[in-house]
Amino acid sequence: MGTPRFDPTHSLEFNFDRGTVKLGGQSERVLVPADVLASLLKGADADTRKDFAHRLGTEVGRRVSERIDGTASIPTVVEHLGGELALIGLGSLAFERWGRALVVTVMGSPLRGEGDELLAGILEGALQRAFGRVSAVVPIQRDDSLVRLLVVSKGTAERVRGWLASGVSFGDALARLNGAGGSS
Amino acid sequence: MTPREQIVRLEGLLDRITKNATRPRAPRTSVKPATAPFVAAAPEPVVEATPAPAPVAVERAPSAVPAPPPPSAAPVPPRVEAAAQSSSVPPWKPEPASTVQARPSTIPPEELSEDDLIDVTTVPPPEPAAAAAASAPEVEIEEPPASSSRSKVAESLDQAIASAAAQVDEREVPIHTPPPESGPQEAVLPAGIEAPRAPDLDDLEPAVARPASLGPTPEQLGETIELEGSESPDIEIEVAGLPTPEPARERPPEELEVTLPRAEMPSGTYDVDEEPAPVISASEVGVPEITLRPAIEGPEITHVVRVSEKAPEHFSELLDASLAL
Repeated sequence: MGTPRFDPTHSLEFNFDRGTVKLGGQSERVLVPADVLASLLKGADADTRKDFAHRLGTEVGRRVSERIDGTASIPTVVEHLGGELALIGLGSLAFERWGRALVVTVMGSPLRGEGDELLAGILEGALQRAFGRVSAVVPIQRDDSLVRLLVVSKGTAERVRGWLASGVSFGDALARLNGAGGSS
Repeated sequence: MTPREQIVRLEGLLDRITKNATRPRAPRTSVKPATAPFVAAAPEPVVEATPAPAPVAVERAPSAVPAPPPPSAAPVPPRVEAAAQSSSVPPWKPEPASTVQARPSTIPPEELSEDDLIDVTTVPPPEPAAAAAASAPEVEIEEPPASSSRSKVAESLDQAIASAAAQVDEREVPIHTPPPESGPQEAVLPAGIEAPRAPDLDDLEPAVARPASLGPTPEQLGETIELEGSESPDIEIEVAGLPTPEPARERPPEELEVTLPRAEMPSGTYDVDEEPAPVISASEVGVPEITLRPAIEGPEITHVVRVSEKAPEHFSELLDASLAL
C-alpha cells in the first residue's frame, strides 16, 4: 500500500456558532497574530520557549505518525511534515541533504528570525514523536525568508554552534561535519 | 839585551861564582863600591813573582840556566839580587861543612867587574821611582815591594838558612799562588831555550853511574845547600773563589706553577691528539653548496575523496545519517 498523500481537506474546522476552531477534528485552536506571539516568546525564558516549541512539535509529529512511519521516504516525510507545519501557519518545509547532513529549510515563517528557535524546537519535537529519534536542530543560516536548520545530535550541535560563533560559514561547518564524519 | 845574551852572561857569572866560592876571600870591602855605582846607576827593582825559599845558594846544574826575571820566572840568582840591594851586605863565606864544592886552589879568584853585573830585570821600572832613586846619592835600603821576594845575602850559611825561614814567614803569600816546596827546584826555562838533556847513563862510566834510587851525585848537585825543613806553620792558602754551587736541583714537574695538560690527563674539553679543525680561508668561501630537492616521479599526488552519491532510500536513513555526524 502506498503511502497516503497528505490531504488537508477538512483539516481545519471553524464553528462559527460556537466560535471555536479545531484542526483535523481534534482540540480547538486559537488564531493569534504572529508578532504578538513573537513578542510573547521574546519575553519568555529559554526553557519556556523550548517547552512551548517541543509541545507544538509533538502535536505535529502525532498527526504525521498517523499517516506515515519510519519507512516513509524523504519526500513523504517532507509532504506530510511540511503539510502539518503549514496548517499551523509556520511556513513551508523542505529538506536538503548536504552530504550526509540533513538540513531542513523553512520558508515564509511569520516569526522571522525570532521564530527560528521556535521552529528548531518544533522540529525536534516532531522528529522525536514521528520517528522516535532524539535530535538537535540548529539554525545555521537565515536570510530574509528562508532559514536552514541542521539536524544533528546534541554534541554535534554544540560544535556547530561554536563554529558558527567563530565565523565559520554554514557550508564550511557542513564540510567539516562531512569530513570528520568521513574519517571517523 | 836579548834574553839569550842575558842567559849566557849569567852562566858565565855563575861559573865565576862557583870558582870563587872555593877560594878564601878577602874582606869584601870592595863589594860596596862595586854595588854602589850599580845602585846609583840603575837601581831597578827586581820583580819576582814567585818567592824562593833558597835565595842564598845558587843552584848549579850542568847546563842550568837561571831564568831572567820575568814576573813569573824562577828565582833570580841571589848574587844579582845582592848587587841590586844595599851595600851593607856582609861578605859571604862558605861553610866548611857545607856541600858546596870548594874552589880549586889553582884557579885564581876572579873579580867581578861591572860588566858581570848585568841587569837581570826585564820589567821596565817606574820612571818617577827610578829617577828619584837615581838622583839619590846615598844608597838606601830599598824595601822590597809587596810582590817581590828578594832577600838579603847572608854572611853565612846559617844566616842564609835563617833568612830563608824568615822570608817564608814574612813573605806575603799572594793569592792563588801555591807555596813552592822546599828543597831543590827545577828551574823554569825561559822561552826559546831548550831544556838540557838528561845525561845518558849508558854513556857514563860505571863509577859515575848510580842507581836512580840514591839520587843525584854531589857533582850533579853542585853547590846545593840542603835546607832544613821550615819551622813555620804550614801556609794556608786561601783559595778565594766562589763557593761551590750546589747542583741545581731539578724541580719536580708537579712543582711547576702551571701544570701543562698531559695527553693522558682528562682534559675534558681539549684533546691534544685531536687534529685541529681545518682553517677555511675567506677565499675558499665563494660559491655556496646548493642542495636541491630530488625529483619526485610516479606517485599520484592528488587523491579526491568523494562522498557517496546514493540518496538514502528512506527518511529514517537520512535522519540517522545526519544524526551520526
